[in-house]
Amino acid sequence: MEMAVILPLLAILASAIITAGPYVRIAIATQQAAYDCAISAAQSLNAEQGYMQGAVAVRQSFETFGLNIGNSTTRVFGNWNRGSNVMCEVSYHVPLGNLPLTQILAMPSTVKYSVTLPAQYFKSKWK
Amino acid sequence: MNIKNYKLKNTYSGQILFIFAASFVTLMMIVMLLIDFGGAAIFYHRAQIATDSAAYAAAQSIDMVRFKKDNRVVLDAAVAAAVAGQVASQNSVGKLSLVRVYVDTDRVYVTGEMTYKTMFAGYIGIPSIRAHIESSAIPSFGLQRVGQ
Repeated sequence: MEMAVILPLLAILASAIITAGPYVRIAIATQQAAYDCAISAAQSLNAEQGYMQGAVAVRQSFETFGLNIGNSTTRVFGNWNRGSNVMCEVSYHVPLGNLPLTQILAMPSTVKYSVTLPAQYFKSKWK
Repeated sequence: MNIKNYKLKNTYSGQILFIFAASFVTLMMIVMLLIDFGGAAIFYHRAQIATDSAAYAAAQSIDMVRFKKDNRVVLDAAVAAAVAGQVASQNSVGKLSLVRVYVDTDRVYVTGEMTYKTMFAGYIGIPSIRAHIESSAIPSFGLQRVGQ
């Protein structure tokens, strides 16, 4: 009888732990991906090259964290003139179906972070 | 009467409830702290990124007058501090406060602080967690690693 009372409470506690862990990991991975993307994109003075470098950095970051790159969206934009701002915005769509309690607690389905850095001021024009 | 007492002494039903009631508060506190420390970890990482970004941007503040005169790469401390403050604010939504920007020839050292307000840990006397972050950078001229 008492198990009927205790089990749901224990299940809620366990679910909170199971849900919180992946959220923290995804949030940190997305922040790191946005930073890596911005650093890489800002090394170029060419928009196309900068975007490509940023996208590659995002993929490598998510791979390092063992997350599926297919769940992410990357936007790299700005002005690739020397010292102008380049922004990298990375979103990760959290697979809510795999986590308990997410619908009850109305957890956000997307984690999004952006990092802005100035394009290299003293970079050579060589590509 | 004796039989009744005997039966009562050998009934263990309900014991778990008492043990669980006593431990539930502790378990709840552990879960709440876990959620708070998870939030603090995300917050700390955000602060680290904002500080690193500030140091990266500040490291581009080369003193061009000295460079043209002596052909030496030396950072302009005033410009570095201004750039670091601007970039730190941009990348932390104004939450990171820079406490120190120090320039040593061609390297800039940036120290920032960010305060995370806890959701549950306040009940046990931890209303906020302060992250103290340090970062440094040198001008990289568009190169990410040596030999590139």
